[in-house]
Amino acid sequence: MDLLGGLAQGFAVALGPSALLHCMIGVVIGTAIGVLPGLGPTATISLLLPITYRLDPVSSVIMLSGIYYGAMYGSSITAILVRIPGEAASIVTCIDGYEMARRGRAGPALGMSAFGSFIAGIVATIGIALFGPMLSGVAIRFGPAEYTALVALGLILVTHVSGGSVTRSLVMVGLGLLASTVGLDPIVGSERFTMGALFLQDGLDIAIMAMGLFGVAEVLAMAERSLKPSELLAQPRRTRDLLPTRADWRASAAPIGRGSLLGFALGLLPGGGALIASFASYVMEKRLSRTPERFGTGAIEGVAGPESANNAAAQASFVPLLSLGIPSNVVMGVLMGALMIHGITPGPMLLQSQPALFWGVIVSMFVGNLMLIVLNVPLLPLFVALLRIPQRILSPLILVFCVVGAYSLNNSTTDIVTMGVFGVLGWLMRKARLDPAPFLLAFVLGGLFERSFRQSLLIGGGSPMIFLQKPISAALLAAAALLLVLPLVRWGVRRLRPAPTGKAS
Amino acid sequence: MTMDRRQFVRALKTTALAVGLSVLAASGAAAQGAFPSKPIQLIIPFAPGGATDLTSRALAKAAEAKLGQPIAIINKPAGGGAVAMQEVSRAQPDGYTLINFTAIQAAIAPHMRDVPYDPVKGFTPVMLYGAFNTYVAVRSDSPYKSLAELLDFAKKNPRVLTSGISVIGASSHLGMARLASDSGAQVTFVPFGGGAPAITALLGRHVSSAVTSGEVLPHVKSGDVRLLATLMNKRAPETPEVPTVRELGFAWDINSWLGIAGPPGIPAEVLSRLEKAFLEAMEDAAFKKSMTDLAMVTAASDAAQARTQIESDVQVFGDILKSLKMGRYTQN
Repeated sequence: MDLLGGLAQGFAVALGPSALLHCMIGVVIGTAIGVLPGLGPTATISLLLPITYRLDPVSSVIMLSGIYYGAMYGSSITAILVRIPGEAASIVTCIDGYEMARRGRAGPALGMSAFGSFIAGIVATIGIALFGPMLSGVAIRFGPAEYTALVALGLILVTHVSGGSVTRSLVMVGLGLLASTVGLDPIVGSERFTMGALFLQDGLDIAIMAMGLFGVAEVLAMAERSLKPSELLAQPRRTRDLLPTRADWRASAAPIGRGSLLGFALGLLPGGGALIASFASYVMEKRLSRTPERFGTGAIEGVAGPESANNAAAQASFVPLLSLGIPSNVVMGVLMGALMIHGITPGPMLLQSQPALFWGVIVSMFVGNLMLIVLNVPLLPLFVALLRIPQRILSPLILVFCVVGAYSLNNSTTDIVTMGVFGVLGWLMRKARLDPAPFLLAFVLGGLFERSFRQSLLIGGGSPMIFLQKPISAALLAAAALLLVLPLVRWGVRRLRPAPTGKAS
Repeated sequence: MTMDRRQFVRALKTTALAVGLSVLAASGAAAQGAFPSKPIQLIIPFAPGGATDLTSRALAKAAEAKLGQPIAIINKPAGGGAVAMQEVSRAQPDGYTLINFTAIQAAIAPHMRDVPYDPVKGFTPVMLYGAFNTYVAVRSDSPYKSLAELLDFAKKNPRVLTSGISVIGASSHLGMARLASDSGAQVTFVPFGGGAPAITALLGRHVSSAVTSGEVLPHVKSGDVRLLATLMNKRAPETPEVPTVRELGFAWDINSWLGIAGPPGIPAEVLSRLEKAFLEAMEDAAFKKSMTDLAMVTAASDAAQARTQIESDVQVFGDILKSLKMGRYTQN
C-alpha cells in the first residue's frame, strides 16, 4: 500500500468532524482518569464500550484509543504533583518528578512530561506509519524464552533505578519478587501464600500497592511534618516560570529522543511494554548521564525520558493489534472486543479490508497528541496551583481519591484495606530509607519472569538449553550477563591498577 | 445560642431524613406486588471486556426493556469469581441481585480448589443463554491434517506435543486432556493465562497446537490457523466444516455454558418473571450479534433445564477431573 496515499486517507478520516469530536472526548476522559489514581484505562474503556455500539467503528476506536494514551499522559500529572502514579507506567516519574515539584519546579516537570509525550507520540506515529505492517512480525517472534530473557535483563536494570545504595535496592527487588509469588500459581493453579484468603488468590494488585506505597505513605509522611509550612508551597505563579527553561530543553532533548525510540521498540512486544519502557529509559538516562548522582533529587532527564518512553510504547502497542490481531496488553484486548462488536476482526487483513480504519486511527493519534498539548499547557498554572491547597485539605483529598480509586478497581472493600496496609508499609520504608520503586518494578517483572520461565521449560522439555538455542533470547541473556559482569570487571581493574590521579575514577 | 441553633438544624435534618427513609420504605413495601420495582444488580464474576462480560452486558441491556427497570452491571473478578459467587449466594433472594452464572465457577472451580459456596444448593438458576465454543487448533503449515494425526503423533512421541491453553482446569484444558487420555497420548500443556496469548504463541511457533475459544476465528479466516475439532456437541454455524469430537469417535463433549442465576429461594413468581424476561431478551438483535461476533454458541435453557444442567455438570466435570487426577484429586 502506498504510504502517502494511506496517510492522506488517514488525515481525511481523522480530521472529519465526528473523528475530531471523538478524539477530543477520548483524550479529555483519558487525561481525567489518568489523573484519578486507580481508575485506569482498562475499566474506563470497558465501561464506555456499550456507548460505542452506536458509533461508527472508526470513531469508536479513535475515542477509545484517545482514552488510552490520554491516560498515559494524565497519570504523570499526579505522579509529579502528589507522588501518586495514576498508572503503573508512571511509577518511575514519581521519583524525579515529585522531587522537582518539591523544589518548586512542578511546572517544568509537567511541561516537559507533556512535550516529551507529544514528541514521543509523533515519533511513534511516524514509526507505525513507516514500519507498522513490517514490524508486526516482531510480536509473534517473542515467545516465552525470548520474554524470559528480556525480563531477566529488566530485572538487572531495576537495581539501578533507585538513587540509594545498591544493597538497599537489592533488598527491595528481593521483596518485590517474593510479593509477586502470592496468589494462584501461574502454571499449575494451586494456591500460594494466600493463607486461605480469597482476595489473595489473584495475587497482589500493582495499582493498589502503588497507591498505598506512594499515595497513602505520602499523606502519612505529610501528617508527621504538618506543623512546618509545606515546601510545596514555594511554587512560582507566573506562567513563564512554569514552562521548561532553555536549560531544561537542552538537558531533555536527547532523553526524549532515546526514550521515544526505546518505548516504540518495547511497545511492539506483548506484555508490560509501557512499564518496562519507562524504567528502562530511566536507567538508561542515569547510566548515560555525566551526573548520575542528580537522579533521585529532581533531574529533569528522569522525567523527560520515561514519560516519552511510556507514551511511545502505548502507541506502538497498537501495531500488533491492528496488523496481527494480537492484543499486547489488557487494554488492547478490550479494544479488540470493541472492534469485533462492530464486526471488524483485527488481523493481517485489516490493512487491506479497512484502510480507512487503520490509517484513520494512526493519524488520529497524531491529532490526539496535539490536542493533549494544546489542552494541557494552558492548564499548567492550574495544576500547579493545586499544590497551593493547604495540606489539611489536600491530604484528605488525596486519601479520598486513593480510596475511591482502590474500590473502583474490583468493586471490593478488601482492596481499600490492602492499600491501607501498604500505605503503612510505605511509610515504614521511608523511615528505613528504602525505595518503593524497585519493589513495585520487581513485583511486575517477577510475575512475568516466573510465568515465561516456566512456560519455556515446559516447551523445552525441562531443559534450560531453550534459552540459548533461540537467537533473540541468547542475545538478550548475553547483554544481561555483560551488565552483571561489567561493574565487577571495572572494579577489578581499578583494584589491580590503583589510579595515581585519584580524580579520574 | 449558636450552638442551640446548630443542634436544632441537625435535629431537623435527622427528622427529615428519617421521614424520607420511611416514605421510601413504605413505597417499597407497597410496590412489592409488582416485581421489579427498583433497579436490578447483575454481578459479573469476570473482568470487563471478555466474551462473558460483553455478551451478558448485551443480554442485560435487552432484558432491561422487558423488565422495565435498569440493570446495573458490576464486575467482580476477585478470587477467580469466587468472591462474587459467595456474595450472590448469600444475598437476599428477592430477585434484585443476580449473577452471570457459568460452568467455570459453578461446575469446574469446586473441583479445582475449596470454594466458599455450594454450586447447586447455593443458587437459583434463572436461565442459560449459550456456551463457549472450544476448538483444537494448529498452524496451517503444520503436518497434522486431522485430530487423529495430531493425537497419533502425541501417542508415539510422549510429551513432545505442546498445547497452548488459557489456564489449568479451563474447559479447553480438560477437553484436550481427555482427548489425550482416551487415545493413550501424552501432551505437554502450556498455560498462557488467556486464549489470545496462547494463539499468539501458536502463530509464533512457540507451541505446536492450541485449544481456545472463538478468539481464534480471525486467524482461521486469514488462513494462518487450521481447526481440527470442536469440543461442543454440534458443529458451530461459523465453522460448519470443523467436526465435533463426538463425530470423531469420542463418547463425550464439553459444554462450557453461561447463564443467569440468583441466590437460593427466589419466590416462584419473581423467578418466572426474570426467566421470561431474560429468555425473551435473547431475541434481541444486538445480543445475537454480540454472540456471533465473539463466536459463542447461542442456546436457550429455561430455569428447570438450567437446574438439571448444573446438577449433572457438577458430576460430569468432577468425574473428568477425577479421571485426570487434577485439581483436588491430584495424587502426590
